[in-house]
Amino acid sequence: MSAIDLDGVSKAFGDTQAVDDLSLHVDDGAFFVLLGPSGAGKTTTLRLIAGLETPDDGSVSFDGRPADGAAPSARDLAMVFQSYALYPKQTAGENIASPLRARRIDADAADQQVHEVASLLRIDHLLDRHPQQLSGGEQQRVALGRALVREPRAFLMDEPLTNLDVKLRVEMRTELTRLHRTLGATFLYVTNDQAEAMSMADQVAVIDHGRLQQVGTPADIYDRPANRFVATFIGAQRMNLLDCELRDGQLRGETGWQVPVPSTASVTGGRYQLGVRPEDLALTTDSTDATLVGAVYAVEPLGDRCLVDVEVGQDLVRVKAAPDADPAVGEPVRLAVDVDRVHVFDSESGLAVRGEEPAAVRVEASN
Amino acid sequence: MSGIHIEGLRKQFPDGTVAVEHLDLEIADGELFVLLGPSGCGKTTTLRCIAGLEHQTSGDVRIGDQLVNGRRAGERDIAMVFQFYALYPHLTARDNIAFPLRAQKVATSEVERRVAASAEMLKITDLLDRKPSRLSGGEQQRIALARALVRAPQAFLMDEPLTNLDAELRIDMRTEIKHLQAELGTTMVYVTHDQVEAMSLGDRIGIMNGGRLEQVGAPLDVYRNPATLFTAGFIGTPPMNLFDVAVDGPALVGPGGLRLPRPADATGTGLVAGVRAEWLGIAGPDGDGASGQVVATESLGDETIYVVDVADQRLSVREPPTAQWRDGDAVTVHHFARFEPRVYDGDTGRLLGADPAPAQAMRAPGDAAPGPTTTDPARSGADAGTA
Repeated sequence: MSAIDLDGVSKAFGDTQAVDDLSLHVDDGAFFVLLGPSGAGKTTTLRLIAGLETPDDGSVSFDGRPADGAAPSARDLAMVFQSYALYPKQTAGENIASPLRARRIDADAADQQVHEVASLLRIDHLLDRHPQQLSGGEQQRVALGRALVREPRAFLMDEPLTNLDVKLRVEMRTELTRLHRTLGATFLYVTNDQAEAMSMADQVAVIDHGRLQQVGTPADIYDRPANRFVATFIGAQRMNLLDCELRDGQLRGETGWQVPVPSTASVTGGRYQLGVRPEDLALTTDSTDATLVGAVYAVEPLGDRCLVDVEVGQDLVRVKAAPDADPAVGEPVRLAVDVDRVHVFDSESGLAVRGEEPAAVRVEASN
Repeated sequence: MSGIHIEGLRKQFPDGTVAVEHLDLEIADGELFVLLGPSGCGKTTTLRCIAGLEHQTSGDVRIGDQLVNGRRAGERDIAMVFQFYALYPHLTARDNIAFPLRAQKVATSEVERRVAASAEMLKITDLLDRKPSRLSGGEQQRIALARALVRAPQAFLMDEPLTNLDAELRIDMRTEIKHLQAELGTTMVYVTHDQVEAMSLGDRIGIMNGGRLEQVGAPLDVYRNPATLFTAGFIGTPPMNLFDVAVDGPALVGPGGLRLPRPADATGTGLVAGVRAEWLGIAGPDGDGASGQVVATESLGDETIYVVDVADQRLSVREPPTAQWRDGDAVTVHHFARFEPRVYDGDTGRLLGADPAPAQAMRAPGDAAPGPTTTDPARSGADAGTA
C-alpha cells in the first residue's frame, strides 16, 4: 500500500496536451477518484502513474520515492479496465489465479488466496465457470478478483463499471466501497460519471482539458465548486446558470428577477452568472423579489421527486419539486430562490466569486 | 396520429426462444408510452413487432384502426429512432433529414419547409450544412430525431435512442424528447432498460419481464404501488427495500424487530414488505427502532443514501445531505408512521389487495385509477415534506 504523488506532470500526444502541469497527492489508503468528461486526460494520468506512458515533464512518486522510468511491472500496481480481458479458455478460478501462477506461488497457497478473494467478491460459486457462462457483472467481479489476489500497493481502475447496466452499476458501487474499506488499500479510480465519484470517493479531483479544476471531498466540490465547469459537471442535475448584472447590491436578471448578493461573495459591478442547484429552487405562489417567473417546459416525475423544467426568458431552469408536483406544460409558475445557497460566477473567467475560501478547498487551477 | 393496440402478442424465434410470451396492451392516441425492462425481457422484440421489423408468431397489432399484421415496416407509417444514429455519412445533416421526404417524392418547397421546421424544433438550424463526421454524438442524435420528425408519422418508435450519449447529454435530450412529443402530440413508444429514463419520460410505463408485462401504470403509480416484487426491485433509485415480515397484531415486524404499520390486506404468513428508502429514517443507537450498522454511504450532494445492515438485511435509507452518519456507525432504523408499507405474497410475488395485472394492462390513461389509491397518505402525497 502506498501514497501516490504527481508533481507538475505533463504529457502531450502530437499537438494535443493530454495532461497539463498536473500535481496531485493521493493519501495512502484513499479512495481517490479522477473525474472528468471524455478527453479530459484522466486515463492518460492513470497510465502515467502505471508507467504505461512516460511524462514529458514532472514526476510520479510512490511513498515519496520517484518512480523515474520504472517499468509497469516493477511498480506493483494492479489495473482494472472497462473491458474485463479474461482468458476465455480458463475458468473464473484459473483467471483469478493467473497472476499467482506467473509468480510461481505454491498451488495450495494460491488456491487458498483465490478462495479468499472469491468469497470477498461473493463469486465462490462461480469459480468453475468459463467467462462466457458469466454475466457482465460477474465477469467484472472475476477481473477484480484477479487484481485483488496480488495484494498490490495500489489499485488503478479505469471506468471499470462502464459496460455494466445501470442497476448493476449502482450495486457495484456499494461493493467497491465495501471492498475498499475491507482491504484498506489505495484505490485510484477514473470515471466520467459524477455519481460514481460522489458516491464512492474520499477525495475527488475534477479534471478538464488536462488541467486540475478542483480537489476536495465530494461535499466540498458539490457545495463550494471552484468554477463554472466544476459547478455544472457535479450533481445528478446540472446547476442552473442565469446571466445577470450587479447593480445596487442586487444581482439582476434580464427578465427582471433580482437576488441579493450572497454575504460570502465579494463582487464589484459587472457581468456575473447566478448558479442555483435544482434543489435550491421551489415552486411557489408567493411573489417576492427573489423569484423567477416562467412557463413550464417539461415535467419529469421520478417518484421520490419531480423535476420541472421552466422557461425563464431564454433559459431553461430545472427545479427539484415535491413528488406530487404536477404542473401542466405551458403553465406560468414562480420559482423561489434559496438565497443562502446560491453561487456566483464571474461571466468572463468562470471562477466562483467568494469572500473567504474555506481552508478545506484547494483551488489549483481554473479554466 | 393514432393509438396502438396489441392483443395476444407472442413471438417465438426459429431457434425456439420465446421473446414475448403473451402481451395485451392499449396505447392511447398521443400517448408517450415507455416499455421498460432488463435486457432479454422482450421489450425490443415487442417494438420490432409494432414496427413490422419482426412478424409475431400470433396475436394482433393495430395502428389506429388498421390491422397491420402482414404489413412490412415501410407500409406502417411509423418512424423509428435507434440507439445508433444510422445517418448517411456522405450526406449533410440537411440531406439526411430530407431523405425520407425525398424518398416519398414530396415537393421540393415542402421538403425545405419541413426540414427547416424540424431543425428549428431541435435547435440544429446552424448545423444543417455539416456532415455527420463533423457533429458530436448529441448533435448526430438530434439529426436522427429530426429525420424521424420530418415525416409526421402516425407514431414514433424509439429503441434506447439515448444509450450512446454521455450522462449530461442524456438528461438534456430526455427533456427535449418529452417536450417535443407533448408539442407534436404524436403517439410514441419508447424502449429503455433505464428506469430513471422511463419514469421521467413516460405518460405510462409498461414493465416487462420474461416476455410478459409485469405492470402498466403512470410513473408515480408504479413507483408507489409496484404490483409485483419484480417491479418493486426494479423501479426507483434505490429500488424498494424488500424483506420478510411477520404479522404482530396491528403491526408487521421485519428484520431486527423493525416495526411497520400493517395494511388491512396483510394477513397470514410468507409476507414480504416493500418499503421505499424515503419511508425509513435513521437515529442514534439508542433510538426507537431496529438496531443496525451503516455499511455504505452514497453521498449524492442533494441527498445521501445510507445502506444499513439490520440483522443481515440491507436497508437503503434516504436522508438529507445534513445527515452525518459514517460507515461503521451503530444506528437504529425506524419506519415513518405516515407511510404504509406495500405487502407482497412471498410465493406469487404479487401485491396484496391489488387488482390483477391484466386489468391494469388494458387500462388506458384517460380512465381514472381505481379508488383505494387515494385513501393512503403515502399514495396521496403526504410525503411531499421529505423531498
